[in-house]
Amino acid sequence: MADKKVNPMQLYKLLPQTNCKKCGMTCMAFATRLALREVELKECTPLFEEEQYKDQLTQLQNLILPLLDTEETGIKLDETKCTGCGNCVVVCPVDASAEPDTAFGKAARTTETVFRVEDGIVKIINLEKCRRFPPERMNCRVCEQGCYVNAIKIW
Amino acid sequence: MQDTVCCGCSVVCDDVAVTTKKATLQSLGLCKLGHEYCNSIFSKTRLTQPLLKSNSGKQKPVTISSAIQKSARLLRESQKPLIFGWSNSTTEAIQLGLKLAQVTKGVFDSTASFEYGALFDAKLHGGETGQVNLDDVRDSADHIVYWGVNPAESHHRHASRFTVFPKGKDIPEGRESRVVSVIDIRETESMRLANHQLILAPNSGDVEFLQALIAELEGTQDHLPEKVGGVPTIEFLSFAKQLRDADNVALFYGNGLVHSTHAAQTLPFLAKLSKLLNRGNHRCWTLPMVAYCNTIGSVKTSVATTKLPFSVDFISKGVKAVESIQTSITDSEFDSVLIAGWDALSFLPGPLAKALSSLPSIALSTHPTLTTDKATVVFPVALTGMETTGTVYRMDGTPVQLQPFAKAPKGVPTEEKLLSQLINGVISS
Repeated sequence: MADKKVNPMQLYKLLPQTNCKKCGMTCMAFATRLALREVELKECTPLFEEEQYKDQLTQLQNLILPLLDTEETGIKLDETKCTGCGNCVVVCPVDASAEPDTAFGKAARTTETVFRVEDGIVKIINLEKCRRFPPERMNCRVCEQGCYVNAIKIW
Repeated sequence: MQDTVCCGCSVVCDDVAVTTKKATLQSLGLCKLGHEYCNSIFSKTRLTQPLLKSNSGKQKPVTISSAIQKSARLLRESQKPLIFGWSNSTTEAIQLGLKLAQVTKGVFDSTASFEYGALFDAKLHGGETGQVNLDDVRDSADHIVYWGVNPAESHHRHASRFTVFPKGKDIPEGRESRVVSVIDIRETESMRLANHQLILAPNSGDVEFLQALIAELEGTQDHLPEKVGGVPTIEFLSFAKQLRDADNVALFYGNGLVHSTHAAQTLPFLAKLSKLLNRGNHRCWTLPMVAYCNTIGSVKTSVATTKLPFSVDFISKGVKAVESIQTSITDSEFDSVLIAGWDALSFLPGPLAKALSSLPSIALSTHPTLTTDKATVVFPVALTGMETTGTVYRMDGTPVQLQPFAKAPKGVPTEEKLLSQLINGVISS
């Protein structure tokens, strides 16, 4: 079975990486939001208009196919509300397998987890590992349920 | 990244790391409170020079030796100095604070007497905290109770490190293997995590609820009204049942219970509840949610040295307990005060702060505060945890060795070093 996970970094590598901002953001931000289905590929107009990106466009279109047949989902983090309590780090089952100590209450210290508290606020560092995305597509909401301050929203 | 220990609150996280680059702090694992606390090494308002109040009432920079000389004279000439604060100091500094109180025949007191003094009267912990280990709570506690405390705001990582979410030896599923109850007089963020969200009526709700709970557990309950202390009876009964059925209860209580209107009744009731739940193979751990990183250290050090937890009067032969430090302060029994490890004037109730601010005072502080503003002599000191070695005691009484990652500004000593010099100054002059 082909790997259906979509990593923003994979997407970024195939984007023009010129930061022209015709889509209103940098290429990295566009890649992250593309993985979240918050933007559509066609909003990156140079990809479609410039011949040099033809192959990259084809690869990108293939890469985001699994996303297109996924139910609408995503995780949004309100950093202004977050207190860095780390509840989400500890409850996340993916974090527990990526860095087992987190399940026992320790702070996430590697780059392998979904959540990691940096500078006092939680960051989603590997969104593509979240079980809500392909291939698992599970209706997991433990991070949202464990948040004290409603900083995590799942849809 | 470098491993460190956070002294931002009494959870004293030791699984965190930091690095400093171009006058900014980057951290991993620190909560917002801890990150901001550690970030204060870059604060632009840091105290870097000793200050001495002149005759005009203005504070002016002086050398450290003249500030020590002036302070030593002030303490030596005092009949009864108050050596005060300590909850954010290292244990080693607290030991020297006790020694200073001894050589000046003064009174040693810490924030513990204000924060949780009443619990010692209730003999809830037999005169000393620390019989509970948070690692045991994580490994075995299947019913967590937060009473009169909102860790979501005060101790951010308490629930994720030790109580609600982590898996433990006997807690295979983490949150799913525990029952969580939060009791307060209002809806709090912590209640989002709770199975039992119990909102008590203000004023007498806690006494009624505790009395009914004890009667229920003892099996002497006659008749229950529609509501127990403001909580619907059906919710009360369900909570009581799960409390009785739990193998290991961990009960964390805070200022909401300790400083309630009826604290004189609630704390002995709490002690009784704890005793009732400790039966056969069942255990109940009760622990106060102290705020500061070394409040427990101040109690432990004082007990080890004087057998008294706080409010220790060093008289000519031995020590005696001060009956009420509040009354002693307002009755002007002290003629000078040294404050370390706490911004006392900002936190104490008005009449006490006013009485203290009228005394000649020596303040040891990292930053300008209300306490330093009013002080006769101000000493800048290093930040506990980030710039000092030493030991602090976590809220459960577990000692944690500090791992500093920064150096104090040039000429700024640690509290330990400064207090040693001050003691020498008092003895030799």
